[in-house]
Amino acid sequence: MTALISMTNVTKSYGDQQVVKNVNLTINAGQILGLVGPNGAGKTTCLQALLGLTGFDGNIDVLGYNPKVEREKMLSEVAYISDVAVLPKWLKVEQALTYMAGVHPNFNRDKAESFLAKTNIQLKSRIKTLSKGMVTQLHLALILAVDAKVLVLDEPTLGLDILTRRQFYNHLLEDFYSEEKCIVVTTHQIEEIEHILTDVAFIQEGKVVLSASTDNIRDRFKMVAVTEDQLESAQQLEPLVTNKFMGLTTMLFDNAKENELQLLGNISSPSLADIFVGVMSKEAC
Amino acid sequence: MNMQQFTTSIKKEIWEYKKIFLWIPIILAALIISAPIISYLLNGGASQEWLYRFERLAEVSNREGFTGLVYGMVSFLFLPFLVISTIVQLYYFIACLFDERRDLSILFWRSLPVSDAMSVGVKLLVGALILPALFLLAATLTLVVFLIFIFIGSVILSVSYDIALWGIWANSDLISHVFSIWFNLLPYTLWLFPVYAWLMLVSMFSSKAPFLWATLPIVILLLVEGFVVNYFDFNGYFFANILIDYFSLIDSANGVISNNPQSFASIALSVIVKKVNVVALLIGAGFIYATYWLRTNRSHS
Repeated sequence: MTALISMTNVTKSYGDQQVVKNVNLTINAGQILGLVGPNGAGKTTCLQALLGLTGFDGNIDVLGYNPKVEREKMLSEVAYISDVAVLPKWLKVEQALTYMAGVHPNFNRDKAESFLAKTNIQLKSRIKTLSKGMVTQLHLALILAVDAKVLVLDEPTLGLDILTRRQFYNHLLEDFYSEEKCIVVTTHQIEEIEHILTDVAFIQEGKVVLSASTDNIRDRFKMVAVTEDQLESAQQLEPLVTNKFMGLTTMLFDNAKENELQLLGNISSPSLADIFVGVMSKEAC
Repeated sequence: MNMQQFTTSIKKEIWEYKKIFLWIPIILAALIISAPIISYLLNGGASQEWLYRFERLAEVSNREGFTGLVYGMVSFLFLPFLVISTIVQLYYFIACLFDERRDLSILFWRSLPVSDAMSVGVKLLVGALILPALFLLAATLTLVVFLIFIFIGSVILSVSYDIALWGIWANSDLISHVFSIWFNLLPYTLWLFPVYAWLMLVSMFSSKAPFLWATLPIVILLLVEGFVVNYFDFNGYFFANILIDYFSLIDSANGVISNNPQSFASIALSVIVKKVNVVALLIGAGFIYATYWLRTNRSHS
Protein backbone atom coordinates (compact mmCIF):
# COMPACT_ATOMS: atom_id res chain seq x y z
CA MET A 1 0.00 0.00 0.00
CA THR A 2 1.24 3.47 -0.87
CA ALA A 3 1.39 5.93 2.03
CA LEU A 4 -0.23 9.16 0.90
CA ILE A 5 -0.02 10.94 4.25
CA SER A 6 2.36 10.47 7.13
CA MET A 7 2.44 12.50 10.33
CA THR A 8 5.40 11.97 12.67
CA ASN A 9 5.53 13.45 16.17
CA VAL A 10 3.29 16.34 15.18
CA THR A 11 2.83 18.82 17.99
CA LYS A 12 1.05 22.16 18.01
CA SER A 13 1.06 24.64 20.89
CA TYR A 14 -0.68 27.94 21.54
CA GLY A 15 1.53 29.58 24.12
CA ASP A 16 2.02 27.07 26.93
CA GLN A 17 -0.95 24.97 25.91
CA GLN A 18 -0.27 21.93 23.72
CA VAL A 19 -3.37 21.26 21.63
CA VAL A 20 -1.82 18.47 19.55
CA LYS A 21 0.67 16.13 21.21
CA ASN A 22 3.04 13.87 19.30
CA VAL A 23 0.54 12.64 16.77
CA ASN A 24 1.75 9.80 14.57
CA LEU A 25 -0.50 8.66 11.73
CA THR A 26 -0.02 7.03 8.35
CA ILE A 27 -2.81 7.01 5.79
CA ASN A 28 -2.48 4.82 2.73
CA ALA A 29 -4.16 4.82 -0.65
CA GLY A 30 -7.62 3.30 -0.43
CA GLN A 31 -8.10 4.20 3.24
CA ILE A 32 -10.95 6.27 4.62
CA LEU A 33 -9.80 7.40 8.03
CA GLY A 34 -12.21 8.80 10.59
CA LEU A 35 -10.51 11.13 13.04
CA VAL A 36 -12.87 11.09 15.96
CA GLY A 37 -12.74 13.02 19.20
CA PRO A 38 -14.77 15.22 21.48
CA ASN A 39 -14.96 19.02 21.03
CA GLY A 40 -11.60 20.67 21.57
CA ALA A 41 -9.69 17.41 21.18
CA GLY A 42 -7.44 18.87 18.46
CA LYS A 43 -9.05 17.31 15.36
CA THR A 44 -9.33 20.54 13.39
CA THR A 45 -5.84 21.67 14.42
CA CYS A 46 -4.48 18.31 13.24
CA LEU A 47 -6.15 18.71 9.87
CA GLN A 48 -5.02 22.32 9.56
CA ALA A 49 -1.44 21.26 10.24
CA LEU A 50 -1.87 18.54 7.62
CA LEU A 51 -2.94 21.17 5.10
CA GLY A 52 -0.25 23.68 6.01
CA LEU A 53 -2.90 26.10 7.26
CA THR A 54 -1.23 26.43 10.65
CA GLY A 55 2.32 26.02 11.92
CA PHE A 56 3.39 22.87 13.79
CA ASP A 57 6.39 20.99 15.14
CA GLY A 58 7.25 17.53 13.81
CA ASN A 59 7.05 16.18 10.29
CA ILE A 60 4.16 15.87 7.88
CA ASP A 61 4.40 14.43 4.40
CA VAL A 62 1.41 14.66 2.08
CA LEU A 63 1.94 13.10 -1.36
CA GLY A 64 5.64 13.84 -0.99
CA TYR A 65 5.05 17.50 -0.16
CA ASN A 66 5.92 19.28 3.05
CA PRO A 67 2.77 21.32 3.78
CA LYS A 68 4.79 23.95 5.64
CA VAL A 69 6.77 25.00 2.59
CA GLU A 70 4.92 23.50 -0.40
CA ARG A 71 1.32 24.27 0.52
CA GLU A 72 0.27 25.60 -2.90
CA LYS A 73 1.73 22.65 -4.84
CA MET A 74 0.24 20.22 -2.33
CA LEU A 75 -3.21 21.80 -2.55
CA SER A 76 -3.29 21.10 -6.31
CA GLU A 77 -3.72 17.45 -5.35
CA VAL A 78 -5.49 17.78 -2.01
CA ALA A 79 -9.07 18.93 -1.53
CA TYR A 80 -10.50 20.23 1.71
CA ILE A 81 -13.95 20.98 3.09
CA SER A 82 -13.99 22.76 6.41
CA ASP A 83 -16.34 22.31 9.34
CA VAL A 84 -18.37 25.45 8.74
CA ALA A 85 -20.04 27.01 5.73
CA VAL A 86 -16.97 28.84 4.48
CA LEU A 87 -18.01 29.71 0.96
CA PRO A 88 -18.23 33.51 0.82
CA LYS A 89 -21.83 34.70 0.81
CA TRP A 90 -21.28 37.43 -1.77
CA LEU A 91 -20.03 34.97 -4.39
CA LYS A 92 -22.29 33.75 -7.21
CA VAL A 93 -22.26 30.05 -8.15
CA GLU A 94 -20.94 30.74 -11.64
CA GLN A 95 -18.25 33.01 -10.17
CA ALA A 96 -17.20 30.18 -7.85
CA LEU A 97 -16.83 27.91 -10.90
CA THR A 98 -14.90 30.57 -12.84
CA TYR A 99 -12.64 31.20 -9.87
CA MET A 100 -11.92 27.51 -9.33
CA ALA A 101 -11.22 27.05 -13.05
CA GLY A 102 -8.86 30.03 -12.94
CA VAL A 103 -6.82 29.08 -9.90
CA HIS A 104 -6.96 25.29 -9.72
CA PRO A 105 -4.95 23.34 -12.30
CA ASN A 106 -6.91 20.12 -11.68
CA PHE A 107 -10.44 21.56 -11.68
CA ASN A 108 -12.91 20.20 -14.23
CA ARG A 109 -15.66 22.77 -14.74
CA ASP A 110 -17.85 20.44 -16.81
CA LYS A 111 -17.82 17.87 -14.02
CA ALA A 112 -18.85 20.49 -11.46
CA GLU A 113 -21.63 21.78 -13.72
CA SER A 114 -22.98 18.29 -14.37
CA PHE A 115 -23.02 17.65 -10.61
CA LEU A 116 -24.83 20.93 -10.00
CA ALA A 117 -27.34 20.11 -12.77
CA LYS A 118 -28.59 17.28 -10.55
CA THR A 119 -29.37 19.78 -7.78
CA ASN A 120 -31.67 22.78 -7.43
CA ILE A 121 -28.74 25.18 -7.45
CA GLN A 122 -28.87 27.83 -10.20
CA LEU A 123 -25.63 29.13 -11.67
CA LYS A 124 -26.83 32.73 -11.31
CA SER A 125 -27.64 32.32 -7.60
CA ARG A 126 -25.66 34.11 -4.97
CA ILE A 127 -24.45 31.86 -2.15
CA LYS A 128 -26.26 33.91 0.49
CA THR A 129 -29.56 32.91 -1.13
CA LEU A 130 -28.81 29.16 -0.87
CA SER A 131 -29.82 26.96 2.06
CA LYS A 132 -27.10 25.39 4.18
CA GLY A 133 -27.62 22.04 2.47
CA MET A 134 -27.29 23.66 -0.96
CA VAL A 135 -24.10 25.44 0.09
CA THR A 136 -22.66 22.09 1.14
CA GLN A 137 -23.75 20.56 -2.17
CA LEU A 138 -22.06 23.41 -4.01
CA HIS A 139 -18.88 23.00 -2.00
CA LEU A 140 -18.96 19.29 -2.67
CA ALA A 141 -19.47 19.95 -6.40
CA LEU A 142 -16.40 22.21 -6.42
CA ILE A 143 -14.31 19.67 -4.56
CA LEU A 144 -15.46 16.59 -6.47
CA ALA A 145 -14.57 18.35 -9.72
CA VAL A 146 -10.96 18.55 -8.54
CA ASP A 147 -8.88 15.56 -9.50
CA ALA A 148 -7.49 15.25 -5.97
CA LYS A 149 -5.69 12.26 -4.50
CA VAL A 150 -6.41 13.23 -0.91
CA LEU A 151 -9.68 14.59 0.44
CA VAL A 152 -9.79 16.16 3.87
CA LEU A 153 -13.19 16.73 5.46
CA ASP A 154 -13.60 18.52 8.76
CA GLU A 155 -17.11 17.96 10.15
CA PRO A 156 -18.49 18.48 6.62
CA THR A 157 -22.11 17.70 7.44
CA LEU A 158 -22.41 19.68 10.65
CA GLY A 159 -25.87 21.23 10.93
CA LEU A 160 -27.31 19.38 7.92
CA ASP A 161 -30.45 17.27 7.98
CA ILE A 162 -30.14 13.50 7.75
CA LEU A 163 -31.13 13.27 4.08
CA THR A 164 -28.47 15.74 3.03
CA ARG A 165 -25.91 14.02 5.24
CA ARG A 166 -26.62 10.64 3.62
CA GLN A 167 -26.52 12.19 0.13
CA PHE A 168 -23.22 13.82 0.95
CA TYR A 169 -21.50 10.57 1.88
CA ASN A 170 -23.09 8.67 -0.99
CA HIS A 171 -21.70 11.22 -3.46
CA LEU A 172 -18.36 10.98 -1.77
CA LEU A 173 -18.17 7.24 -2.31
CA GLU A 174 -19.66 7.26 -5.80
CA ASP A 175 -18.01 10.33 -7.28
CA PHE A 176 -14.68 10.62 -5.47
CA TYR A 177 -13.44 7.50 -3.79
CA SER A 178 -11.16 5.00 -5.50
CA GLU A 179 -8.38 2.65 -4.42
CA GLU A 180 -5.73 5.23 -5.40
CA LYS A 181 -7.15 7.94 -3.17
CA CYS A 182 -7.64 8.48 0.52
CA ILE A 183 -10.13 10.41 2.62
CA VAL A 184 -9.61 11.84 6.09
CA VAL A 185 -12.81 12.84 7.82
CA THR A 186 -13.65 14.19 11.23
CA THR A 187 -17.19 13.98 12.46
CA HIS A 188 -19.29 13.86 15.58
CA GLN A 189 -21.85 11.65 13.89
CA ILE A 190 -19.58 8.61 13.77
CA GLU A 191 -22.49 6.17 13.63
CA GLU A 192 -23.49 7.63 10.24
CA ILE A 193 -20.16 7.06 8.60
CA GLU A 194 -18.80 4.03 10.36
CA HIS A 195 -19.90 1.81 7.48
CA ILE A 196 -17.70 3.76 5.06
CA LEU A 197 -14.61 4.02 7.27
CA THR A 198 -11.72 1.64 6.72
CA ASP A 199 -9.70 3.05 9.61
CA VAL A 200 -10.31 5.11 12.67
CA ALA A 201 -8.22 7.23 15.03
CA PHE A 202 -9.58 8.43 18.34
CA ILE A 203 -8.09 11.66 19.58
CA GLN A 204 -8.41 13.08 23.06
CA GLU A 205 -6.77 16.19 24.48
CA GLY A 206 -4.47 16.36 21.47
CA LYS A 207 -3.27 12.74 21.73
CA VAL A 208 -4.20 9.84 19.45
CA VAL A 209 -5.39 7.25 21.96
CA LEU A 210 -6.38 4.58 19.45
CA SER A 211 -5.56 4.14 15.79
CA ALA A 212 -6.40 0.98 13.85
CA SER A 213 -8.42 -0.43 10.99
CA THR A 214 -12.14 -0.81 11.66
CA ASP A 215 -11.84 -4.59 11.10
CA ASN A 216 -9.10 -4.80 13.69
CA ILE A 217 -11.10 -2.71 16.13
CA ARG A 218 -14.20 -4.86 15.69
CA ASP A 219 -12.10 -7.97 16.41
CA ARG A 220 -10.53 -6.36 19.43
CA PHE A 221 -13.55 -4.87 21.19
CA LYS A 222 -16.54 -6.93 22.26
CA MET A 223 -19.82 -5.96 23.84
CA VAL A 224 -21.32 -8.46 26.26
CA ALA A 225 -24.84 -8.48 27.68
CA VAL A 226 -23.83 -9.79 31.10
CA THR A 227 -26.26 -11.96 33.03
CA GLU A 228 -26.99 -10.99 36.64
CA ASP A 229 -25.08 -13.91 38.15
CA GLN A 230 -21.93 -13.18 36.12
CA LEU A 231 -21.57 -9.51 37.06
CA GLU A 232 -18.80 -10.11 39.56
CA SER A 233 -16.79 -12.30 37.19
CA ALA A 234 -17.26 -9.73 34.43
CA GLN A 235 -15.93 -6.93 36.61
CA GLN A 236 -12.74 -8.92 37.15
CA LEU A 237 -12.06 -8.75 33.39
CA GLU A 238 -11.95 -4.93 33.70
CA PRO A 239 -14.53 -3.75 31.17
CA LEU A 240 -13.90 -0.39 29.54
CA VAL A 241 -17.40 0.74 30.23
CA THR A 242 -20.50 -0.65 31.92
CA ASN A 243 -24.06 0.34 31.01
CA LYS A 244 -27.15 -0.54 32.97
CA PHE A 245 -30.45 -0.01 31.24
CA MET A 246 -33.85 -1.46 32.15
CA GLY A 247 -32.27 -4.26 34.20
CA LEU A 248 -29.84 -5.25 31.43
CA THR A 249 -26.11 -4.77 31.99
CA THR A 250 -23.81 -4.44 28.99
CA MET A 251 -20.06 -4.23 29.21
CA LEU A 252 -17.43 -3.30 26.65
CA PHE A 253 -14.19 -5.29 26.73
CA ASP A 254 -10.89 -4.60 25.04
CA ASN A 255 -8.73 -7.56 24.00
CA ALA A 256 -10.57 -10.02 26.23
CA LYS A 257 -10.53 -13.71 25.32
CA GLU A 258 -13.69 -14.77 23.52
CA ASN A 259 -14.06 -18.05 25.46
CA GLU A 260 -13.99 -16.11 28.75
CA LEU A 261 -16.57 -13.63 27.47
CA GLN A 262 -18.89 -16.40 26.29
CA LEU A 263 -19.32 -17.49 29.92
CA LEU A 264 -20.56 -14.00 30.86
CA GLY A 265 -23.45 -13.69 28.43
CA ASN A 266 -24.31 -12.85 24.81
CA ILE A 267 -21.43 -11.35 22.82
CA SER A 268 -22.04 -8.79 20.09
CA SER A 269 -19.91 -6.45 17.99
CA PRO A 270 -20.07 -2.95 19.36
CA SER A 271 -20.55 0.05 17.11
CA LEU A 272 -17.66 2.49 16.67
CA ALA A 273 -19.70 4.97 18.70
CA ASP A 274 -19.81 2.48 21.61
CA ILE A 275 -16.09 1.87 21.34
CA PHE A 276 -15.43 5.61 21.14
CA VAL A 277 -17.42 6.24 24.31
CA GLY A 278 -15.66 3.34 26.04
CA VAL A 279 -12.15 4.43 25.03
CA MET A 280 -12.83 8.07 25.91
CA SER A 281 -14.28 7.07 29.30
CA LYS A 282 -11.24 4.93 30.05
CA GLU A 283 -8.80 7.67 29.05
CA ALA A 284 -10.71 10.22 31.11
CA CYS A 285 -10.44 8.06 34.27
CA MET B 1 4.01 33.68 -11.41
CA ASN B 2 0.90 31.94 -12.68
CA MET B 3 -0.80 34.65 -14.77
CA GLN B 4 -4.16 32.88 -14.87
CA GLN B 5 -4.25 32.67 -11.07
CA PHE B 6 -3.19 36.31 -10.91
CA THR B 7 -5.91 37.63 -13.23
CA THR B 8 -8.55 35.38 -11.64
CA SER B 9 -7.59 36.68 -8.19
CA ILE B 10 -8.00 40.27 -9.45
CA LYS B 11 -11.42 39.36 -10.87
CA LYS B 12 -12.39 37.90 -7.51
CA GLU B 13 -11.57 41.17 -5.73
CA ILE B 14 -13.63 43.13 -8.25
CA TRP B 15 -16.59 40.71 -7.85
CA GLU B 16 -16.43 41.10 -4.09
CA TYR B 17 -16.31 44.89 -4.12
CA LYS B 18 -18.29 45.44 -7.31
CA LYS B 19 -20.64 47.96 -5.70
CA ILE B 20 -17.89 50.31 -4.65
CA PHE B 21 -15.52 49.63 -7.54
CA LEU B 22 -17.98 50.09 -10.38
CA TRP B 23 -21.16 51.71 -9.15
CA ILE B 24 -19.66 54.57 -7.12
CA PRO B 25 -17.60 55.95 -10.05
CA ILE B 26 -20.55 55.48 -12.41
CA ILE B 27 -22.92 57.32 -10.05
CA LEU B 28 -20.36 60.06 -9.47
CA ALA B 29 -19.83 60.49 -13.21
CA ALA B 30 -23.60 60.61 -13.78
CA LEU B 31 -24.00 63.31 -11.11
CA ILE B 32 -21.16 65.43 -12.49
CA ILE B 33 -22.47 65.14 -16.04
CA SER B 34 -26.07 65.85 -15.11
CA ALA B 35 -25.37 68.80 -12.76
CA PRO B 36 -24.44 71.43 -15.45
CA ILE B 37 -27.14 70.09 -17.79
CA ILE B 38 -29.79 70.52 -15.10
CA SER B 39 -28.40 73.95 -14.22
CA TYR B 40 -28.48 74.94 -17.92
CA LEU B 41 -32.07 73.75 -18.33
CA LEU B 42 -33.25 75.40 -15.10
CA ASN B 43 -31.77 78.70 -16.24
CA GLY B 44 -33.83 78.69 -19.42
CA GLY B 45 -31.45 77.30 -22.03
CA ALA B 46 -29.39 79.55 -24.33
CA SER B 47 -29.98 82.85 -22.55
CA GLN B 48 -28.03 86.02 -23.22
CA GLU B 49 -26.01 85.40 -20.07
CA TRP B 50 -24.78 82.04 -21.38
CA LEU B 51 -23.97 83.54 -24.78
CA TYR B 52 -21.93 86.23 -23.04
CA ARG B 53 -20.02 83.52 -21.13
CA PHE B 54 -19.24 81.66 -24.34
CA GLU B 55 -18.03 84.91 -26.01
CA ARG B 56 -15.70 85.51 -23.05
CA LEU B 57 -14.47 81.92 -23.29
CA ALA B 58 -13.77 82.36 -27.02
CA GLU B 59 -11.70 85.46 -26.18
CA VAL B 60 -9.59 83.92 -23.43
CA SER B 61 -8.98 80.71 -25.39
CA ASN B 62 -6.47 82.57 -27.56
CA ARG B 63 -4.62 84.17 -24.67
CA GLU B 64 -1.37 83.02 -23.09
CA GLY B 65 -1.97 80.93 -19.96
CA PHE B 66 -5.19 79.40 -21.29
CA THR B 67 -3.63 75.95 -21.05
CA GLY B 68 -3.13 76.52 -17.30
CA LEU B 69 -6.79 77.42 -16.98
CA VAL B 70 -7.78 74.24 -18.81
CA TYR B 71 -5.47 72.19 -16.59
CA GLY B 72 -7.17 73.73 -13.56
CA MET B 73 -10.61 72.87 -14.98
CA VAL B 74 -9.57 69.30 -15.79
CA SER B 75 -8.08 68.91 -12.32
CA PHE B 76 -11.28 70.34 -10.84
CA LEU B 77 -13.27 67.72 -12.75
CA PHE B 78 -10.95 64.91 -11.57
CA LEU B 79 -10.84 66.14 -7.97
CA PRO B 80 -14.13 64.62 -6.70
CA PHE B 81 -13.18 61.30 -8.30
CA LEU B 82 -9.79 61.34 -6.57
CA VAL B 83 -11.25 62.33 -3.19
CA ILE B 84 -13.94 59.62 -3.32
CA SER B 85 -11.41 57.14 -4.69
CA THR B 86 -9.12 57.79 -1.69
CA ILE B 87 -12.01 57.26 0.75
CA VAL B 88 -12.98 54.03 -1.03
CA GLN B 89 -9.34 52.90 -1.02
CA LEU B 90 -9.08 53.41 2.74
CA TYR B 91 -12.29 51.42 3.21
CA TYR B 92 -11.05 48.66 0.90
CA PHE B 93 -7.71 48.28 2.64
CA ILE B 94 -9.34 48.12 6.08
CA ALA B 95 -11.92 45.56 4.89
CA CYS B 96 -10.06 43.37 2.38
CA LEU B 97 -8.41 40.96 4.82
CA PHE B 98 -10.72 41.51 7.78
CA ASP B 99 -13.93 40.53 5.93
CA GLU B 100 -12.61 37.16 4.76
CA ARG B 101 -11.59 36.31 8.33
CA ARG B 102 -14.89 37.50 9.77
CA ASP B 103 -17.01 35.29 7.49
CA LEU B 104 -14.37 32.48 7.63
CA SER B 105 -14.17 32.39 3.84
CA ILE B 106 -10.39 32.61 4.35
CA LEU B 107 -10.56 28.86 5.08
CA PHE B 108 -12.00 28.32 1.60
CA TRP B 109 -9.54 30.65 -0.16
CA ARG B 110 -6.59 29.10 1.66
CA SER B 111 -7.75 25.57 0.83
CA LEU B 112 -6.97 26.31 -2.83
CA PRO B 113 -3.54 26.32 -4.47
CA VAL B 114 -3.07 30.09 -4.35
CA SER B 115 -0.10 31.39 -2.37
CA ASP B 116 -0.56 33.85 0.47
CA ALA B 117 2.00 36.10 -1.22
CA MET B 118 -0.22 36.27 -4.31
CA SER B 119 -3.38 36.87 -2.25
CA VAL B 120 -1.80 39.75 -0.31
CA GLY B 121 -0.06 41.12 -3.41
CA VAL B 122 -3.25 41.11 -5.47
CA LYS B 123 -5.16 42.93 -2.73
CA LEU B 124 -2.41 45.55 -2.54
CA LEU B 125 -2.35 45.96 -6.32
CA VAL B 126 -6.14 46.20 -6.57
CA GLY B 127 -6.44 48.76 -3.78
CA ALA B 128 -3.41 50.82 -4.66
CA LEU B 129 -3.61 50.93 -8.45
CA ILE B 130 -6.64 49.27 -10.02
CA LEU B 131 -9.23 50.93 -7.79
CA PRO B 132 -7.97 54.53 -8.34
CA ALA B 133 -7.45 53.67 -12.03
CA LEU B 134 -11.16 52.78 -12.28
CA PHE B 135 -12.06 56.16 -10.77
CA LEU B 136 -9.63 57.94 -13.10
CA LEU B 137 -11.19 56.07 -16.00
CA ALA B 138 -14.63 57.26 -14.92
CA ALA B 139 -13.28 60.83 -14.65
CA THR B 140 -11.68 60.56 -18.10
CA LEU B 141 -14.92 59.25 -19.62
CA THR B 142 -16.80 62.10 -17.94
CA LEU B 143 -14.35 64.52 -19.53
CA VAL B 144 -14.93 62.85 -22.91
CA VAL B 145 -18.69 63.32 -22.49
CA PHE B 146 -18.13 67.00 -21.70
CA LEU B 147 -15.85 67.33 -24.73
CA ILE B 148 -18.59 65.86 -26.92
CA PHE B 149 -21.01 68.44 -25.49
CA ILE B 150 -18.45 71.18 -26.05
CA PHE B 151 -17.90 70.04 -29.63
CA ILE B 152 -21.64 70.06 -30.36
CA GLY B 153 -21.92 73.45 -28.62
CA SER B 154 -18.99 74.79 -30.65
CA VAL B 155 -20.71 73.81 -33.90
CA ILE B 156 -24.04 75.35 -32.82
CA LEU B 157 -22.42 78.56 -31.51
CA SER B 158 -20.29 78.90 -34.62
CA VAL B 159 -23.18 78.43 -37.04
CA SER B 160 -26.00 80.18 -35.14
CA TYR B 161 -24.28 82.88 -33.09
CA ASP B 162 -20.96 83.41 -34.84
CA ILE B 163 -19.02 82.59 -31.64
CA ALA B 164 -15.83 80.64 -32.44
CA LEU B 165 -14.79 78.28 -29.65
CA TRP B 166 -12.36 76.33 -31.84
CA GLY B 167 -9.44 77.94 -30.03
CA ILE B 168 -10.29 75.77 -27.03
CA TRP B 169 -9.36 72.69 -29.02
CA ALA B 170 -6.19 74.14 -30.40
CA ASN B 171 -4.77 75.73 -27.25
CA SER B 172 -5.89 73.58 -24.37
CA ASP B 173 -3.30 70.72 -24.35
CA LEU B 174 -6.13 68.56 -23.07
CA ILE B 175 -4.61 65.21 -23.90
CA SER B 176 -1.31 66.00 -22.19
CA HIS B 177 -3.20 67.25 -19.13
CA VAL B 178 -5.16 64.02 -18.87
CA PHE B 179 -2.01 61.95 -19.39
CA SER B 180 -0.19 63.89 -16.69
CA ILE B 181 -3.01 63.21 -14.20
CA TRP B 182 -2.89 59.51 -15.05
CA PHE B 183 0.89 59.59 -14.77
CA ASN B 184 0.59 61.02 -11.24
CA LEU B 185 -1.08 57.80 -10.12
CA LEU B 186 2.18 55.90 -9.69
CA PRO B 187 4.03 58.44 -7.46
CA TYR B 188 0.75 59.08 -5.62
CA THR B 189 0.57 55.34 -4.87
CA LEU B 190 4.18 55.22 -3.74
CA TRP B 191 3.59 58.23 -1.51
CA LEU B 192 0.58 56.65 0.20
CA PHE B 193 2.00 53.09 0.15
CA PRO B 194 2.89 53.10 3.91
CA VAL B 195 -0.72 54.08 4.71
CA TYR B 196 -2.13 51.33 2.50
CA ALA B 197 0.28 48.80 4.01
CA TRP B 198 -0.58 49.86 7.58
CA LEU B 199 -4.30 49.48 6.87
CA MET B 200 -3.74 46.02 5.37
CA LEU B 201 -1.78 44.99 8.44
CA VAL B 202 -4.58 46.21 10.68
CA SER B 203 -7.12 44.42 8.48
CA MET B 204 -5.14 41.21 8.92
CA PHE B 205 -4.37 41.68 12.59
CA SER B 206 -7.53 42.97 14.23
CA SER B 207 -10.23 40.58 15.33
CA LYS B 208 -12.73 43.41 15.86
CA ALA B 209 -13.16 47.09 14.93
CA PRO B 210 -10.32 47.42 12.38
CA PHE B 211 -11.00 51.13 11.91
CA LEU B 212 -10.28 51.75 15.59
CA TRP B 213 -7.13 49.64 15.38
CA ALA B 214 -6.05 51.70 12.38
CA THR B 215 -6.47 55.06 14.06
CA LEU B 216 -6.21 54.58 17.82
CA PRO B 217 -2.51 53.62 18.02
CA ILE B 218 -1.58 56.77 16.08
CA VAL B 219 -3.88 58.97 18.19
CA ILE B 220 -2.49 57.45 21.39
CA LEU B 221 1.09 57.91 20.16
CA LEU B 222 0.44 61.60 19.43
CA LEU B 223 -1.33 62.14 22.76
CA VAL B 224 1.48 60.47 24.71
CA GLU B 225 4.04 62.51 22.79
CA GLY B 226 2.07 65.68 23.49
CA PHE B 227 1.96 64.85 27.19
CA VAL B 228 5.70 64.00 27.35
CA VAL B 229 6.73 67.12 25.43
CA ASN B 230 4.61 69.39 27.64
CA TYR B 231 5.50 67.66 30.89
CA PHE B 232 9.28 67.65 30.31
CA ASP B 233 9.18 70.95 28.42
CA PHE B 234 10.97 69.57 25.33
CA ASN B 235 11.59 71.78 22.30
CA GLY B 236 9.33 70.14 19.77
CA TYR B 237 7.27 67.21 18.63
CA PHE B 238 8.92 64.32 16.83
CA PHE B 239 6.16 61.98 15.60
CA ALA B 240 3.66 64.78 15.01
CA ASN B 241 6.16 66.68 12.86
CA ILE B 242 7.08 63.56 10.90
CA LEU B 243 3.43 62.90 10.10
CA ILE B 244 2.74 66.53 9.20
CA ASP B 245 5.86 66.71 7.00
CA TYR B 246 4.96 63.48 5.25
CA PHE B 247 1.34 64.24 4.49
CA SER B 248 1.46 68.01 3.95
CA LEU B 249 1.69 69.00 0.30
CA ILE B 250 2.01 72.74 0.92
CA ASP B 251 5.74 72.95 1.69
CA SER B 252 6.54 70.57 -1.12
CA ALA B 253 4.39 72.58 -3.55
CA ASN B 254 6.02 75.89 -2.51
CA GLY B 255 9.48 74.46 -3.11
CA VAL B 256 8.56 73.04 -6.50
CA ILE B 257 6.72 76.16 -7.76
CA SER B 258 9.63 78.48 -6.88
CA ASN B 259 12.08 76.22 -8.72
CA ASN B 260 9.94 75.12 -11.64
CA PRO B 261 7.36 77.66 -12.71
CA GLN B 262 6.92 76.56 -16.34
CA SER B 263 4.30 73.79 -16.44
CA PHE B 264 1.23 73.13 -14.30
CA ALA B 265 1.24 69.43 -15.10
CA SER B 266 4.90 68.97 -14.24
CA ILE B 267 4.40 70.93 -10.99
CA ALA B 268 1.74 68.48 -9.77
CA LEU B 269 3.94 65.53 -10.69
CA SER B 270 7.02 67.04 -9.03
CA VAL B 271 5.10 67.82 -5.84
CA ILE B 272 3.98 64.22 -5.45
CA VAL B 273 7.32 62.72 -6.52
CA LYS B 274 9.00 64.90 -3.88
CA LYS B 275 6.81 63.28 -1.23
CA VAL B 276 8.01 59.75 -2.04
CA ASN B 277 10.44 58.70 0.65
CA VAL B 278 12.65 55.60 0.77
CA VAL B 279 12.34 55.18 4.55
CA ALA B 280 8.55 55.36 4.32
CA LEU B 281 8.61 52.80 1.51
CA LEU B 282 10.71 50.45 3.64
CA ILE B 283 8.31 50.87 6.57
CA GLY B 284 5.42 50.09 4.19
CA ALA B 285 7.27 47.00 2.93
CA GLY B 286 7.70 45.90 6.56
CA PHE B 287 3.96 46.27 7.17
CA ILE B 288 3.19 44.22 4.05
CA TYR B 289 5.58 41.47 5.12
CA ALA B 290 3.95 41.39 8.58
CA THR B 291 0.55 41.12 6.86
CA TYR B 292 1.79 38.20 4.75
CA TRP B 293 3.35 36.52 7.80
CA LEU B 294 0.12 36.78 9.82
CA ARG B 295 -1.95 35.39 6.96
CA THR B 296 0.43 32.48 6.57
CA ASN B 297 1.09 31.59 10.19
CA ARG B 298 -1.96 32.61 12.14
CA SER B 299 -4.74 30.10 12.79
CA HIS B 300 -7.93 31.36 11.17
CA SER B 301 -10.51 28.91 12.47
